[in-house]
Amino acid sequence: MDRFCNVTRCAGLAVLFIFFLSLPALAELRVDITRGVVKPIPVAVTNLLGTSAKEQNIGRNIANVIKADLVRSGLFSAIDSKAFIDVESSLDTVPKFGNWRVLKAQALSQGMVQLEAGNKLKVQFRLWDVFAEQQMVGRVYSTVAENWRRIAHIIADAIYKRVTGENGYFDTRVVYIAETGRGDRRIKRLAIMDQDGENHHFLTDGSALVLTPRFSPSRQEITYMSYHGNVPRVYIFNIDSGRQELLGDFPGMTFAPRFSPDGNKVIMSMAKDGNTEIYTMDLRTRAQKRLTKHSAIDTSPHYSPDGKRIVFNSDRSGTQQLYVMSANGGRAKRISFGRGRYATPVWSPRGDLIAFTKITRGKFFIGVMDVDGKGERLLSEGFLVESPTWAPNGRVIMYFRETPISKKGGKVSKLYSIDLTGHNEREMVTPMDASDPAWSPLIP
Amino acid sequence: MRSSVLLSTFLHAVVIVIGVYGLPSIRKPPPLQDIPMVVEIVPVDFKTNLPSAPEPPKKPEKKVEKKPPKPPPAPKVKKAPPAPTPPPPAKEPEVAVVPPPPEPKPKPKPKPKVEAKPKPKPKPKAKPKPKAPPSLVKAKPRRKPKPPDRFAMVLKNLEKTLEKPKPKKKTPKKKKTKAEEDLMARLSKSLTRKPTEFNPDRKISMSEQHAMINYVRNKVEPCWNFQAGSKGAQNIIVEIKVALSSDGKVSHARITNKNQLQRDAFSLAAGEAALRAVLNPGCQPYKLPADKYAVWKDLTLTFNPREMLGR
Repeated sequence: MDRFCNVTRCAGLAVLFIFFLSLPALAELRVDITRGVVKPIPVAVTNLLGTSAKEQNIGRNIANVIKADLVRSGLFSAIDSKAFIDVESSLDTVPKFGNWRVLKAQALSQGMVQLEAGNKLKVQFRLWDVFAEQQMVGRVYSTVAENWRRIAHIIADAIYKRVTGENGYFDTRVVYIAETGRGDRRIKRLAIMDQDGENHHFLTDGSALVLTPRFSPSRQEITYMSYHGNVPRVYIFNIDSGRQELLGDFPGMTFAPRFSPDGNKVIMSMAKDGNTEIYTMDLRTRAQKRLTKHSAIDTSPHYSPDGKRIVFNSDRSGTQQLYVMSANGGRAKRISFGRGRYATPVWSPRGDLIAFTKITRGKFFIGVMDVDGKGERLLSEGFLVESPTWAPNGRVIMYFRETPISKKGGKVSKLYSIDLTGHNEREMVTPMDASDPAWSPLIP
Repeated sequence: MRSSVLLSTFLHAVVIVIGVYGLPSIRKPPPLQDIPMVVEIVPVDFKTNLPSAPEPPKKPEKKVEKKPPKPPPAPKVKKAPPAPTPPPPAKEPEVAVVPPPPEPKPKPKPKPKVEAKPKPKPKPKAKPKPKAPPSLVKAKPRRKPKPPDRFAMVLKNLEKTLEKPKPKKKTPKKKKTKAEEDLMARLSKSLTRKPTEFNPDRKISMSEQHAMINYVRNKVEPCWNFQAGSKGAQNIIVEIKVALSSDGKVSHARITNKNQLQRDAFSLAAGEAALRAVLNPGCQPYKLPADKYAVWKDLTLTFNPREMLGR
């Protein structure tokens, strides 16, 4: 019996072995594709279905916001709905992919809106791969009816993530400095809006000059610098309650604040006795810690997303350059060596790049470099472009651009966004002059 | 007794398996490998494969052509006329795009109680001193200076356009177009060759192999929409097995390393983007020589954007 088992086992192994040996018989042509194109992906976004006129209206509005979000990203193009051949009247059937292939649509977004008792809104959504004829995403969202715009941004985020593989950034907000008036009478107020410019409102009344607002990564809070009471200090503003609070009692002028990635600390610069150093303050214990000790000006600190390192700019080498040091301070390593001066470094939320402002040849540039200083690329230039801030997915950068409009010193200041690749530069529409933008994390 | 019957059955099975699967492989050609620098390899082929590829060498060739309008001078030695250039692979027409609807301007409602107190101009950021910067270590140039082409602008860098003098760009551009013309001429020659009887065992020359490979590459590349700004994009490798029908259309395509790509959302999306490039009806059919169907009916496409991203 044992012998029988051995023979059977050996025979089985031998047959398998011979089978695998025979596999290379399938010869075929091998082609390496090393280049592609970078162009918007054509997407068909149909109006979300609804039974009543009100539902259909909401469905149309949601579709329009989704389309606008996707197109603004530069990675998608929306197919004109007038070209649609036969829009499905139900979400429960598989779409006729042939109709969408004819339009060259690579993805198809469908949805349905239902208004329920208690002003509740239920939104179903499906995303289809037209060529592979497969569903890519299917979700249901429930909210109050007034929240339809957020639902639209969340759906746009879902499409963006499924097609590109990166997190979306449409369900976010931007805080910035809204500017009015001329010269010495310039009024600067904190303002906040959705990333598409909607839901705009002011957070401060302009009685005190405000600068450099920054979002908390974990709470609905903003840190910024204010000249409240004619003393420049760093404050924290709670968006929900509208309360503003002075951050610590420092002996000198504090500025350029930023939150740590966990939201528990604020890192900032303090100028005292003609020297500027970098400090942190623990928001729970209010304990202060000095991180740099150098006769040069050390400022614009920013944490890496893991909270272990800090990038800042300093003129300790004779000219303004970027440096990286441990989050606990210590020896700083210079990372920028290009021609010109570097300022306002901002670590990407992805952790792979640092955005900065560069001043060279009498011009300002917005650029990015690897965290070790290599691979520098300049993305945008202008008379004055400054203050980059990253979208939470680390793919898009927003900044402000100041352009002179008259010889008497008149100028306009606007917000712009640009893709990391250096393409798709777009103006963010704001009701008045704007500067110092800060992009929020995804709204929880 | 039972064991000898089993042994006999097993040995028969072995002989049958070898006969069915093993033996044909001895006669079949090995997998055709793509060799990156096609243009440089082709001249070798002219020497090694003369009978099957009687293409005229490009430089001094000995075809004598008489010029009809000038009878008196002796017939001059002229270059062979270039082969007719085939029409370029059909490009996918641009999709009708809805321009983004203009964002409605939110109505600002500034509160009336606004008092400006613009006292001293604050300087939150360290003021740079207007000193002339000392000579700094120059940024290292990229590994290879590449000729500018349609992919060169994937990752834009304004500094490059500022620093590079224009005339420099012209030389490699000329080279490229010449190389392209040369490639297209050879491609057209191999594609327009008279179809012969179908013979799966017929060997193909190196130039034919490379013409096919280049044709497929030129067909697929414009359809591969790749997200260049993504983190780790240069490390993505997608392998797709494609079965083609005899009319050159894709009958089946599947990602072979899907398990590997499913580890993260970006890799999966990149794999699906590559699959869409293959399945896109606007990028088909592949017009390959019908008599070589046995060679191209199964393709393996390996997508890797390293070259495109210049890393």
